[in-house]
Amino acid sequence: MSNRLHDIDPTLPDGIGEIISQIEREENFLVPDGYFNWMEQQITGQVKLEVARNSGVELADDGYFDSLESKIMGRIHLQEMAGSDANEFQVPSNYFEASEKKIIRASAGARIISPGWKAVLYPAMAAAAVVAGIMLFQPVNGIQTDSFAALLEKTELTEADLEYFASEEDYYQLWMDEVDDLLNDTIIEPMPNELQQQDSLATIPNEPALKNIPAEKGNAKKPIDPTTPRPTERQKQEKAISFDDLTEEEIWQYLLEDGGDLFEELK
Amino acid sequence: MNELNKEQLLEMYREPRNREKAFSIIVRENQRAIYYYTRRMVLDHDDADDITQNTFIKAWKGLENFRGESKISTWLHKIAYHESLSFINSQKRVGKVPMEKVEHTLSKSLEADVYYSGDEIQRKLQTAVALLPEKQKAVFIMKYFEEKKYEEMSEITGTSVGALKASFHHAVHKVEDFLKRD
Repeated sequence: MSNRLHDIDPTLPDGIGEIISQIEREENFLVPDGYFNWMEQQITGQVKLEVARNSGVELADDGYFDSLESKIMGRIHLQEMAGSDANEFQVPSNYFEASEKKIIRASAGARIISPGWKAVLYPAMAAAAVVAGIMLFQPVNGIQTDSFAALLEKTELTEADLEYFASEEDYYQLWMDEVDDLLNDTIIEPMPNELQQQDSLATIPNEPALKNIPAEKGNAKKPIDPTTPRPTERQKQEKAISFDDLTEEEIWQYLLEDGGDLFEELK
Repeated sequence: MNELNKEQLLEMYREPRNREKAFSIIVRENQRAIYYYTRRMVLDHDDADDITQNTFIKAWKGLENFRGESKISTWLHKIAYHESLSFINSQKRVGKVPMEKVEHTLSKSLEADVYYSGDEIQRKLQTAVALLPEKQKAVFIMKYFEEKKYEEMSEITGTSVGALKASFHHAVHKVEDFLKRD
């Protein structure tokens, strides 16, 4: 077969190529025997179907109704064999009994997620962050200048850090301990003599705010247990006022001002 | 089929009692051209069969609105062109053949195809054409295998003659490069 492309379109850019022009152009795609006759019937058949659909005629394949009865009866028979309310999805025997036991066992060993695990996790995360920080700032030559404890002391955790790493309950406990310690320290710490002479509302410069609590007269005079930085149990308790704690002058003052009745009885 | 025949056919189609007869003639006259065009586009006989039938069913549904400004064969080719592109795009979405294996798969499928009689170089040419981007493939098939004029191709594809020439030029170079390999 001659290459007719150049004759058809001489303006074709670059022609069709040297190699392509050497290939014989022949029809290599084959079709089954009688295919085009069949195709024509197929297409016209579909067109007739389309026409019938558009005209509202219901069509069915040849012999459709002959086989329909047996199909329906077959399905009814199958359903009767299986039972009218039988479930089509079948499970092995004792499946549900075994499943129940499995579920109970799994429930017993399951991890219950509650705020409690945070009490362990968050402090652990805080410790990990501290260790990571230490490792990050460790000198390059590998010589560790500070011990872990010293570095830990230098590491400052803000209240926000604590709040983040501790659960609500833990944080409340930490906060209460801190308040307790500060109050105890305030109680224990004797008021400097020079300040005792000043106005009780005066503040101590450059001291933490909690230490600004004015030293109460009674507290400042209380004895300190030298073996412990904390006050003794007796100090912690509110003392009941007795006559032993009062001077004679104070007793008489009380009796004169408020205890008129008692004074009359004593007389 | 000349222009007069086209006019006669359309007139016949407009009469309800002759409508199906007119359409049967249109199918008989054009089915081979449409089938071979789609077969070259998709290679597989069954796919080409589906596309060809879809083309004619759509033609039946749209023939009422056909104004006769172009030849019936050109109009049918236009439907087949869009049907083929839709089919190829749907196959891409499904991912029927991985891209890295497409060349090997095409060559092997042609070799195993009982409805393909080409020799090795023919298979290689068909594989090279099949690997072209779909629009370049359509242009190459219409120009090289069907020897259509650019004006008719422009009607079918809705693309300018200049763009079609450029597409054909690129397609030829790609096919040549493929055939030069090995």
